[in-house]
Amino acid sequence: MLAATLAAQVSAPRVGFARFAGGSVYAVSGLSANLVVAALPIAHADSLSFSDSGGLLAHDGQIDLVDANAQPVASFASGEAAPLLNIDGALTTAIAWLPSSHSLLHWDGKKFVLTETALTGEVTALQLPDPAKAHLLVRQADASISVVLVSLDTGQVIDSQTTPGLEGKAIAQRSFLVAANSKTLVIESANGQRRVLPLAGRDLTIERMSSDWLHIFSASSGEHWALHLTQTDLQLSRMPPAREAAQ
Amino acid sequence: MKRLLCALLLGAGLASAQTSPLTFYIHDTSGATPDKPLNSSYAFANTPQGSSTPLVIRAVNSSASTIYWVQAFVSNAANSTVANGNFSITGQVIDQVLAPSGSLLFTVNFAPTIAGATTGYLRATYQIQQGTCSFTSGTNPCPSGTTNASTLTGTATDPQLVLSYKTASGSAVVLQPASSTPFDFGNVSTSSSVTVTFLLSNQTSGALPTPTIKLQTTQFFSSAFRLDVSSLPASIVGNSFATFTVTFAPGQTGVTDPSTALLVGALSYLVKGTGVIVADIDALQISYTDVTPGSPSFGVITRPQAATAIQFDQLVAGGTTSSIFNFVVTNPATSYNAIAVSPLKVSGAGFGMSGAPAAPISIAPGASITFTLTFAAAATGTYTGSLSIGTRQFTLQGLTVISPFPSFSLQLSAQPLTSQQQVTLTVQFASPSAFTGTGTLTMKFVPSVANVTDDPAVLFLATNSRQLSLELAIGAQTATYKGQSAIAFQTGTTAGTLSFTLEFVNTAPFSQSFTITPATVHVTSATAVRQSPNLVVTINGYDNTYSAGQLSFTFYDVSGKLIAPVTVNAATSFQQYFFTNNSAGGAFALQASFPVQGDVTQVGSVAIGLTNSQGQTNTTQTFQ
Repeated sequence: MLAATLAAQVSAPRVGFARFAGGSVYAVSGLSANLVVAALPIAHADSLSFSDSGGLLAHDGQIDLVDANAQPVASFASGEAAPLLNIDGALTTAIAWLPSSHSLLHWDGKKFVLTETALTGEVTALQLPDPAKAHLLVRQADASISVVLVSLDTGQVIDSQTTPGLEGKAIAQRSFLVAANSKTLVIESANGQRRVLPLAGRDLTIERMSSDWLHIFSASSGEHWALHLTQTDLQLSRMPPAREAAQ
Repeated sequence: MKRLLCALLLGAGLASAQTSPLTFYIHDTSGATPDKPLNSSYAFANTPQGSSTPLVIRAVNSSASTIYWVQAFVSNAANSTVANGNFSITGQVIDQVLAPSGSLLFTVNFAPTIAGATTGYLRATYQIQQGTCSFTSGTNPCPSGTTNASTLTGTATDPQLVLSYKTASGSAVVLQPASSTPFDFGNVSTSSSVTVTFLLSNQTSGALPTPTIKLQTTQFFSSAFRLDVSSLPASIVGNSFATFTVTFAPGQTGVTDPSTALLVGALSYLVKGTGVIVADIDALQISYTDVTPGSPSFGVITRPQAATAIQFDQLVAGGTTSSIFNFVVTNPATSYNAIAVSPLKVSGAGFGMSGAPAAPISIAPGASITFTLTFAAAATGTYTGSLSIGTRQFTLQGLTVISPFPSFSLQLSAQPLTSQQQVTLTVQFASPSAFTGTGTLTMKFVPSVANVTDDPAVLFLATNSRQLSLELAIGAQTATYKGQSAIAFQTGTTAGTLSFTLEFVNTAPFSQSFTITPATVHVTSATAVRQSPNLVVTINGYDNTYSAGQLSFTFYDVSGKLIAPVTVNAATSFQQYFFTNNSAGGAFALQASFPVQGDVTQVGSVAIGLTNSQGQTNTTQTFQ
């Protein structure tokens, strides 16, 4: 049944891309508790999101879609100073929230498509689980987090559910919800089980480095962490800052 | 004085009625009070014979013309140029051009040699620029004049402490303080020395405390004079005397620094001497440069004098660093002969010499030799040695101290260390520190894997580097980096030795090493995926021996029945990865793809074996 085997391919384990002080974007390689930040930046960005297939980079009002090697695929002039980005699979999972226009921007495989919505609340994370629907995490005025489903055809809210007990900034990672507040990092699985990690920081930001890795950082303290989160693994590691940023 | 005579002889005289271009002020060197005009008469405080009272004067060119300051002097008559021996002028720069409003300072000293009242006349000679005249030309000299600044009076009281010195015949000669004429030790070979005994006489009937006696030398320069006050008592009984000695031992040729003085209490006695060449070896010019890493004097070149010990940098007893001085010995090109240097040696515990040319040593005119002296000692204390360059002798001195900080240790949050760890290190002191301090914590990694020099993942997580600057606060028992006591680092994925070195100022460096032993391949994650017509197995992990090669894959169907075992020799792939542009240490991502003939969905799982020099690691993955 098995005809033969190809020669094994060995390479450096790839973690993803992370943004450090000043907006410089660096490749990160290694394993949990063994992270190596590349010596030179590959780009500058105001925010980013990467999967194993590609990434979104926002800078100076422009959103760039890049491939897995950070080579440009397409660009969109959003004029948005602080768009929220996500890509967690193929390039067609690329989606952005443009808060000033309450719009969703996604990549349909050929072009960027803009969808206006009537959402309220602060969108903290989003996903594109299928080509027609966007999955948004919205922080309400009382700091609670709602999971909101929006149609990309109409921009209308299809469904909205509050996630009890989760507060702060949240991001969806595979079937998990990851929420960071000033005292802890809470990871909630699809079956409602929660794991709490002590990770104090009053200004934590979460960005996706790749399909399995999240970058969590505090701009005020300059501390960085890398969370490896898959169905079978949860590892939180300290991550060194980029050398340039550490000076 | 020559300039004064020239001015008097060559300068066209000024009409006596002409207003003086100079104005004189009493100057407070502390700056506490502003200058006050010097009146036409000034009375010094009563001053004992053998002592002196100073008066600092500022002379200002108050004319609209440039003047040439010749000099000030104190005469014994208002129209005389004969000096009054009870007064002296020191600190005066003679022959100086003063622009309008320009000024200079000098000190008039009342240093009476005779008892009773005395009167002197402070006068100043100058030239003044008029038309095309010249201050220096003899053909068209500028007009000159001498102005009377003030009439000085003073009364000498009975002597108290009087300084004198013993001549070769044993008689005592009284020295006048604040004299502009230095006491001269004369010409002395750079291989030799002269010692003069000074007597400090108490001329009163009661005991007087012995004043502080010291040498005033130019800071940072080696002095050719050495003072020995070891025989001086705390006080000198009435009508008695005490002695001390000053030795002139030049290590360089030429006249000593003119500012060198012997200070007896508040009284100053200028001294000088001249280093001369008697034998050929006296001509050698000797200098050294401090090349001690981190020394505040690093790079400073010193021309040593035999009277003053060559002082090495202060070190921490038992430290790993030495104080290092590089010497150059030059035979001047003006010498007639090559100079034999024998012996060239250093003696004394703690001192060492290296890099010297082999004996016999001969230095041709214009040529040099070099060598290095080092100092280091295991125990605290002051160390003395000597350097002999032929008959030229220099004393060496080194000092080692103990750390001002309590003893400390390095404590790790996890031991033994293994690969792929993030561990915190704490610098723990045995007791609260009495001082603040700044230390440097350095980590060094030496792989035990052949042909591997480093692992880039071994680093401090706060800085992405291998060095941190630590702070120690008063009362603290742990050192901190940016307020954090727990200092996190990564151990990497290579077997080897991780060493930490902590250095605090004036403290012996402390090092501690930890071994990361070789281990079997460690799998951190693995996946098995059906990608028809292939089965793809991906493994992330590390091999801290860089020796992985043999891989085994045993496939089972969905019911658990063995399908086929496959063995892959991946040694070449691993070796190429580990030893070519390695940027991840022993960490690796392995992907193996297996073409399948038939239905891939029938393949249920795979048992994987990875073998390195330490053994085999097994893992089983179910196909997704």
